[in-house]
Amino acid sequence: MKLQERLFFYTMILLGITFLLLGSALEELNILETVDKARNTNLGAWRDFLTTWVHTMNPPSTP
Amino acid sequence: MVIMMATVNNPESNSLADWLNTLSHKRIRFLRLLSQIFFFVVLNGAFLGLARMPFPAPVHIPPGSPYAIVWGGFSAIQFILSSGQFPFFALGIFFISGAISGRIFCGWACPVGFWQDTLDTVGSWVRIPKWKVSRRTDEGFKEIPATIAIVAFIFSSWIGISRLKGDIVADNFITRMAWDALDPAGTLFVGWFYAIFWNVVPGDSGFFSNLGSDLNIFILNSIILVIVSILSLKVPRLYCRYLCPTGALLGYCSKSSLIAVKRNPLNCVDGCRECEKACPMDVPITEFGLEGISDTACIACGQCIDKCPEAMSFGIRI
Repeated sequence: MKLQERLFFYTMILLGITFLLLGSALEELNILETVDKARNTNLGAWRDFLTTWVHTMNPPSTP
Repeated sequence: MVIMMATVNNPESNSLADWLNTLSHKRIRFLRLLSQIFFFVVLNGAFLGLARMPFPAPVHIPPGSPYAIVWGGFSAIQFILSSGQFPFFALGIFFISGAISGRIFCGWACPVGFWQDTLDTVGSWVRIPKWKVSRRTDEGFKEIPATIAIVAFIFSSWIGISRLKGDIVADNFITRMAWDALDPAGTLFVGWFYAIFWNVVPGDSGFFSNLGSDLNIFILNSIILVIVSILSLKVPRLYCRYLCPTGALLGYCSKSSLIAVKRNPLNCVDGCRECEKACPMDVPITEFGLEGISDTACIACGQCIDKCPEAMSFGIRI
């Protein structure tokens, strides 16, 4: 591995670890969790959530 | 019959090693198929009762996939950005996985990659002749995924900043995950799934509400999906090569990945290029040597190793 490649590799690892820590500290995944809570493992709930989500923005023309 | 009896009665020929040997040059292809099926089932494991996790995986899973248990990394990046926060964690996942394992997730785990490989195999079964994309055209088209990634990044950031400023922004797929709303893989795994299994079509549910008639957009998306699928029969991994922003992002991080495919030039026959012919991503393999393939398109699928185990191998770069 050339020096340039080695530098790139270690930069990626360091950046990756820093970003993972920062993301954890900022509780970034909570944003995703709010969406996931609605669907969780319950398929019906997810389907309802998705359709409700879009229905509130634009009610369907057909019942 | 005599041959069959001889095979059954010979314990040597029934060993696992012999069985693997009979697979000969298709050994890695077979292992990869098992891996792709495993990940396809696990990543869509909600139907098995697996719980959904708010975790951005370095693969492409359309966000509306009804049984998905994780987030596709690029979809998560768009969603977090459009919520007004910088996607540190999701990008960190890409940096780490790209630096360590390169694009191995594209080749061995991605459900959309599996769909592409399936189309390629079907194309071979029905003997559809493959198109050879010229190097120049390939180089040009390879810029498309990165362009999609940059445009989606800028658009999501703009939406996120608008939300932070308190401007009223509609809350739908376009403003949350713009690329996924137009993505042919999303049309297949979400739009068509909903239409076929749940009888919910976008015209009824209000999908893509900001783009005028929902049903027209769904039809347009379906046409794009059919075109991409037909072209994928002729060009292996077409979607991964020329459309997937997840792969572009992972590819950029994998330039000097720890795990890489290596080529030993000493075991190469001049002008053979069988490895390049076998590569679904059209990587110029012979330009690289023992230092490992550092092309951003290499998905470490191992097709080249299957074709020429004498010169090609998986290895660690350090």
